[in-house]
Amino acid sequence: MEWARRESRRMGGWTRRAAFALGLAAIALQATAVRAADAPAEIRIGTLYAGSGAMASTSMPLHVALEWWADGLNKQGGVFVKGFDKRIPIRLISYDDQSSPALAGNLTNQLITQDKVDILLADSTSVMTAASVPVARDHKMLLWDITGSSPNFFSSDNPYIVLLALAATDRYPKTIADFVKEMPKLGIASVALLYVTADYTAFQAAAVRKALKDTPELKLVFDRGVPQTTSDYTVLVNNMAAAKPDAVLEFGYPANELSFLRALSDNETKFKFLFTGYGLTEQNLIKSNGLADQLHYSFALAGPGSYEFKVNYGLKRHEFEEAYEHWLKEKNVKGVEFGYNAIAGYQAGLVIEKSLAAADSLDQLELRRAVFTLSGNLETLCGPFVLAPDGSQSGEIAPLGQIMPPAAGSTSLGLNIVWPADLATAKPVYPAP
Amino acid sequence: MLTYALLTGLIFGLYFGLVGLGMNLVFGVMRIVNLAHGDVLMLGAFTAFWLMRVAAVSPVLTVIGSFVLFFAIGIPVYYALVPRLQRSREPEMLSLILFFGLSQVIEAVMSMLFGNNERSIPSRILGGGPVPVLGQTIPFAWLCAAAVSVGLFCATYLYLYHTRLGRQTRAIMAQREEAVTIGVDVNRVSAVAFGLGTGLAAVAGVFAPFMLGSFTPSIGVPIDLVSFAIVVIGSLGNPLGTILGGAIYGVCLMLMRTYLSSFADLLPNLVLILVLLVRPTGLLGRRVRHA
Amino acid sequence: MRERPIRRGFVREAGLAIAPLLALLAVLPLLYNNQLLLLNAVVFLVLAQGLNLTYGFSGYLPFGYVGFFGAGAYGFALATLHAAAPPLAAVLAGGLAAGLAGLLLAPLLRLQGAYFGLASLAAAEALRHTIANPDLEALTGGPYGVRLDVPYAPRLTYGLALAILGLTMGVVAFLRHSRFGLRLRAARDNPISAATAGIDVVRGRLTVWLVSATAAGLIGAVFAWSAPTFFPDAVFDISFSIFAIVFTLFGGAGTLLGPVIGVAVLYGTYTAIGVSAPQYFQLVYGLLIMALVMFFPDGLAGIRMPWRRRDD
Repeated sequence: MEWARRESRRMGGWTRRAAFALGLAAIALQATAVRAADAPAEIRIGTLYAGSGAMASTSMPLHVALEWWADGLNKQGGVFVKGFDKRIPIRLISYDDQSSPALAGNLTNQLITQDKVDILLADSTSVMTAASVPVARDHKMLLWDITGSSPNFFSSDNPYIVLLALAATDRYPKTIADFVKEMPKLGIASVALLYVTADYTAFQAAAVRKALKDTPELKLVFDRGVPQTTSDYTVLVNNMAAAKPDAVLEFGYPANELSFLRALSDNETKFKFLFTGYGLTEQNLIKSNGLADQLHYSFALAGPGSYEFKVNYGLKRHEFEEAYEHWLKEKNVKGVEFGYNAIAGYQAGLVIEKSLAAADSLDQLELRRAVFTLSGNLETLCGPFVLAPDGSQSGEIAPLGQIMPPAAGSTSLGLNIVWPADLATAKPVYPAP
Repeated sequence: MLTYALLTGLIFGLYFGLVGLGMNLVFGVMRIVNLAHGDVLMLGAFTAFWLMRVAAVSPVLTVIGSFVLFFAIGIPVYYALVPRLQRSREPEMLSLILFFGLSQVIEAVMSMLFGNNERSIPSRILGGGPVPVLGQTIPFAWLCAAAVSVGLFCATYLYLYHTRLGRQTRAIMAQREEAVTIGVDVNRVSAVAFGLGTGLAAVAGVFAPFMLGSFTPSIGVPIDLVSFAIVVIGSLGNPLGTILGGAIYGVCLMLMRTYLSSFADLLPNLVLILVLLVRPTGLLGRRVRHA
Repeated sequence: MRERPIRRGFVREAGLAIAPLLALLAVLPLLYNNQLLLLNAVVFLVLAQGLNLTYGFSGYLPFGYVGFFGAGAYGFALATLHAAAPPLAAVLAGGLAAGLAGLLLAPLLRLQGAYFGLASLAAAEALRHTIANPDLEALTGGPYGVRLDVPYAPRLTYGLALAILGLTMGVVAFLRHSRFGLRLRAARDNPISAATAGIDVVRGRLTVWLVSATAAGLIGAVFAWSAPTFFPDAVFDISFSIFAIVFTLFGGAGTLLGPVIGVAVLYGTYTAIGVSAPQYFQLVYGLLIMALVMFFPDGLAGIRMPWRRRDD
């Protein structure tokens, strides 16, 4: 019990003696009391977030959700830890990595070696998580990876990482990849693929490209990767339209997505079938930028931000949204919006909570074992939690949705689930009117 | 596709000429590289966002208003920073650091106050859909941006060549010491040039949401790099050369996007290095380049 | 280059400044166990001293200095991935890669002032985008980064970083006290005499440039070893350049201990703010940079103390 040695070193002579006396008394009484006396005063959860720079808009909502979660549990006396059979208050130790991976590596080390955290979380996104992966592994600390879904992080020889809130990128677009095989039945013969050449989007594009290759009836008429910094899609949209595809599949980061939709709008270009990577995940952002019209009849993965998964633990999506919005108002948090990243932060909290309730100690490999007991059993607002043996996430697969124009008298967009067949609520509308 | 790339490249380039214009004017007169240029542009984008999107002010008024506002802000900033900087041993070199610091301050304050979410302005606010040009359709907002850029280039030309202050500005650009000896008030002329540079950056910022898709408080530094490349390609210290630099950049960029998209990011950097090595005075430069 | 026996001043500086500094850094891990933070501090020391070489002795301020750091990191990565080189050899490969990049960019030395500064930045960006090009994925990992399978050896990497620091500072001390270095500095301060000094100065500048590039490459390789999963953006992050410049200017360019003091004070502050008041970090840092240029343009070394001997 590594933590116990650490704690007792930190305690002064008097407290140590008192604890010893208390311990003796407890042995005389009952076993659970012994554990309670051994229990740390707090569970230290270390995390990084980007308060500024390119990653801030994804990182902040997630971090705010973690703060909300920790605050909620602390109001109930803390988080229940099975090993000590009692609730222990949480202390969230957070550092700002300013979107700099080098600093993130540094701060991860700080959390491990100086703050001696019990639970080590990574910042959101693969770019930032990459910096923490080797540091955690070197120090034999389990990295609770929230949204760093790059398949590069996972290997059978590294037990010190688990992916919590997002399916690994090569599995994430499963439903659209499966749906590609259904396309010929709709009358689609040619497909265009446009993606940003960053880890996250390129892996998704690769998964879809593979499905396209396996479907000989479909012709890939346009396949182009563009740098993540691409801010203007006018020429790309024009080039793509010139290839006359029946279906267009586009994967980009939120800023790319906005530029892409804007280019469609400015050129008044319409495709018969349009899939966007973030159309549902970032619907609020797209709406607040006045581009919601462009999403009508388009397809997107209905992740936890837009789809109510069946839940067997924690709040449902709309309940969490309400609580989160309330927290933002109460704490006067500026520039943070509810969305997928907020849910991811809460999901990380839920998994930690459940794991601690199953862990016999705070030993890192015991924590890993505890997380794995949840695999296949836990269902949260992110969907079913299923871990692959290497720690990557195989569950939390988002169904494919089609975004429908608002019903008469309403301003919010409608959503039909079109794939997989057992979850489908409607047939896909093709071609888009 | 080729016509389209050339046409959009030219329009995009005209706009980017405007982006670089202010930076070039400031460099020409003061020999300082204003790395806060991109952040002023970002502030212009925020101004446009509030005026046009939130307060529904007309686009024309927004352009004029943001120019006047940032011209007025630029002058005290000049007096606070530049004269002191000029007295140091290597003002040109130190200006890079000083204005980088300023850029960090602006970015930090904006992201603290308004968060880091992407913002944009729907193009329909400008009124008008895509416009057919030479058999291609071009977004209306792009044409507006290009037209304003051309207008401001003409205005800058008129200012430099047909006003007293403008002629003094050119005198300083050509021969600073001589200008001082013939009695030009360097500080006053420089302050106005700095104000104009800031105002032009802000107007470029008004169109940034349309040309760049969306904006956040952190767009400043990448814009500075592109802007510097354009300025150098045209000719550093010759404001009107910027329009050529912009056009070359725009056309090359769109051609790359069309035919070799994975190299699109590499392009401005390579062009910048090549121009500096092959023709260090810029394509329109005459004078020998000396720090 | 060897033209006169090294002066006594060099020995004095090596004995009184470099050796104690290295000794201090060598024992720090025993007192403070965030070794990655210490390693990063040494990385910045090397970068600041490397920048000190080019800026302090030849007047070139490369904003794209990070390009050599990234070249070193990727030199290390490619040697490990494709040549199965043992880590130590891969570190040398990193230094070599950066040296070659320096040679390739040597024509930039024809430029001056801000032109040179920003052209070097463009070069660093060009290098980054070349490495991050998705078409080169098989070779460099493209934008998807690399994951290296190298042994975790915190002591060795830290020791290696110290050795690189010692060498770099040794070169700085040598330049401060050799006729070669003095001539370079004279040329830096007086461009006209530089022109008349002729070919010697040009070659001297090139030498200093290459040494400086190699130092950044070696330390970049060590950095890659200590954090072997990275994306191109991480090792070509322009803040490496900016920090190295600010640290050097703060302490005073051309001095031996100036950059060290710069790193100690500013990197210390940086870490402290990052931990205690992160939301104000960027703001405080921006203001600090501005104040530095406005009030102490020659760094701490430029503040003349009454008891200070004029030694340069």
